[in-house]
Amino acid sequence: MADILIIDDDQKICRVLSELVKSLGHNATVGISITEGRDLGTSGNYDLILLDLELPDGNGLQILPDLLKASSNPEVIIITGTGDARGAELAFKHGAWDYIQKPFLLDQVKLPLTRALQYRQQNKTTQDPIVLNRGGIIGSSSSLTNCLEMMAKAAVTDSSVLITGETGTGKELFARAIHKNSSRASSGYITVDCGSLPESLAEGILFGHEKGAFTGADSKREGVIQQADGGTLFLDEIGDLPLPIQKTLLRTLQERLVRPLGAKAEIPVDFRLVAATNRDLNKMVKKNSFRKDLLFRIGAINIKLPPLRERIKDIQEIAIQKISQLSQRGGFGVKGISPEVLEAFLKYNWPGNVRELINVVEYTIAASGKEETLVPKHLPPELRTLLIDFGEPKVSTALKHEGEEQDHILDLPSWPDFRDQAEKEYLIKLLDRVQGNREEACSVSGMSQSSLYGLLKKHNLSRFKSS
Amino acid sequence: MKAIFYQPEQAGKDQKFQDLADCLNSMITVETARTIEDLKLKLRMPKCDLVFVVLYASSKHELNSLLEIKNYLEDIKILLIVPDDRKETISLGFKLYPRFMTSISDDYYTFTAIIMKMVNNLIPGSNFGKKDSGSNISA
Repeated sequence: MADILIIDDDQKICRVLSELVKSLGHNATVGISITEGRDLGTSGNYDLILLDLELPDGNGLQILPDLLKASSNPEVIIITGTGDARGAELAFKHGAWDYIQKPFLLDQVKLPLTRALQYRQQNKTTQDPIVLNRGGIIGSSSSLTNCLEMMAKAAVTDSSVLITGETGTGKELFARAIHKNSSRASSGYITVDCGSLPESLAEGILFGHEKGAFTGADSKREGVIQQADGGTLFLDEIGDLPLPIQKTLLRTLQERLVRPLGAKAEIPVDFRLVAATNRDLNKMVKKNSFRKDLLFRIGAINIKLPPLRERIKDIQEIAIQKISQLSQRGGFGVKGISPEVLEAFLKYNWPGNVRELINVVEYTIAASGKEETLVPKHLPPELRTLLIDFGEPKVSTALKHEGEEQDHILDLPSWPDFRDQAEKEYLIKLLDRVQGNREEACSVSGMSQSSLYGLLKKHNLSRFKSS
Repeated sequence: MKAIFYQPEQAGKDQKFQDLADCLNSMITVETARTIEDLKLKLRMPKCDLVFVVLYASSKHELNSLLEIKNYLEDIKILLIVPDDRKETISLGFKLYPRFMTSISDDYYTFTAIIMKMVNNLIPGSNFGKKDSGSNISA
C-alpha cells in the first residue's frame, strides 16, 4: 500500500483521483493550494504526488523541486489543463515522472501511477545500480552525456519522447536505447518511417484495416500501432506525417484506442511513443503543417541531439571503435590509424554527422586493402584536401584576384567559398581528362558514382556520356 | 545509389518479388545476394551508396539466419518480407528493426508503394511510382 498526495484545487478532480487511488489499494491525501501542498509534501512520507500546475496561489512547478527533495523521495506526476509544452519540458527536467493533460480518462492516470509505484518498489527491493544500456551510442562529450541522462530519465517513464537533431546524429539509436532501458524492453519495438508512407495508404498502415475497407483491401490487416501493443512505437520523421493522420494519431494517443479502417469497434492499445525528426516542428506548427496539440502530446520530453561538429571530443572515440569493429568484420584484422587521418577527421565539419563518419571509416578501410594502418591516401578526396597546407598560392586560382598580379594574394576567401571553387576546378579538369567517361572518372578521383554525381550537380557541370 | 536484394532460391519463384526487383533496377542499381554469405560480403563493402536492403525470408530458418547477421545490418534501412503473418513470426521480424514488413502471402501493393516513395524521396523530381502506389508493378 502506497501513500499518495493529490495537490489540486478542483474538488471534483480530487474526489475522482482519491477514489481511483483507493480502488487501487492505496491511501490518498488531498492538498488544494501551493502552500498546503508544499507543507504536506515536504513533511509527509509520500510515495507519489499528483500535482496540478494551475493552483490559486501559484504554479505547481514552483514547489516541484521542494517536493522532489522531500525525505521520502516521492515520484511526481504533473496534471495540467493548460497544454503548456514548455511546462512539461521543465517538469521533466526537474525530474517529474510523467505529465497528464486535462481532461483525462482514468486509465491515463492509472497506468503512469501504477508504473511509478512499481518502479519505486523495484528500487526499494534492489540495491544494484541501474546500468544504462547505451545500445551502441559512443561518446563521452558533455553534450552527449546530457542527452544520455535525458534518455535515462525518459526510459523509466512511460511518456512520449521527441528526439530531434540533424540527419545522421543517431536519433534511431537513441529511440532504441530508450526502449531497451524501459520496462517495455521485453516487448516489441516497431519502427515506422513516416517519410516513406504513401499518403493514401498511411492510415491503413498505421491503424490497420478490415477486409474491403477500401479498394485493394482484400484482407484484414493489423496496423503497426496494434502490433506495437505492449511495446514501443518509433515514428521516424514524424514531421512528414500528413495532417489528417496527425489528427487520428493524436486521438489514439489521448484515448489509447485504435479503430482500424472499416472497423466498427475500437481496440485498446498500450504502447509507448518515441518520435524523431530533423525538422523544426515549432516552425511547422506556425505554418499550420503540424498540429500544435500533437506536438504538445509527443514533445513533453525532448532530447535534442547535438551535431557531430559540436562534440569534437567524440570523433576520435567513434572513429577508433568503428575502425576496430568494421575492420574485424571485414576480415582485415584490427587496423591502426595514422595521426594525419585523425587530424583530417577532427578538421572536417561532418555535415552528415556520425553516419557520415561511419561511411568515411568504411571507405577508408576498404581503400586500405591489406595495409595495416589507415593513412591519408586511403581517405576520400574531400577529406584529403583538409590536410593540404593552403598557405601557398599554387593550389587554386580561387585565391587569385582578376586583374591582379599572379603572385598577389588578396584577403583569404571564406573556407566554403574556397572549397567550392577548388572542387569546381578539380571537376572541370577531371571531366576533361577522362573525356566524360564515368567509370574512369570514378577510378581517377577515387569517388563513388553518387558522390561524383552529387558534386557535378552542385556545380551545375555537364555529366557523363551515356554508356 | 544502390539497393541490395537478399533473394534466396525460393524468392526467385516469387514473381511479385522479381517484378519489384526488376522495376527498381530501372531506377537505381540493384545488387542481388542469393545466400547469407553473399549478403554478408556485400554488407562488408562501403555503404555510402546503399539506400536500403530488401530481405526476403521465405522460411523461419531463413529469418533466423538473417537475425544471426543482425550486426551487419546496423544503420541500414531494411524492408522485410517474412514467411507468414503469424504473431510469432512478425515479432521475430521486428527484431531486425525493419522500416516496413510484410509477409509472402501479401500482394506487395503497400510494400512496393513504400519502396517507391523511398526512391522518390532520394531522387527528387523522379516520377517513379508517383501514383502513390505500386500500380506500375504487376501484382
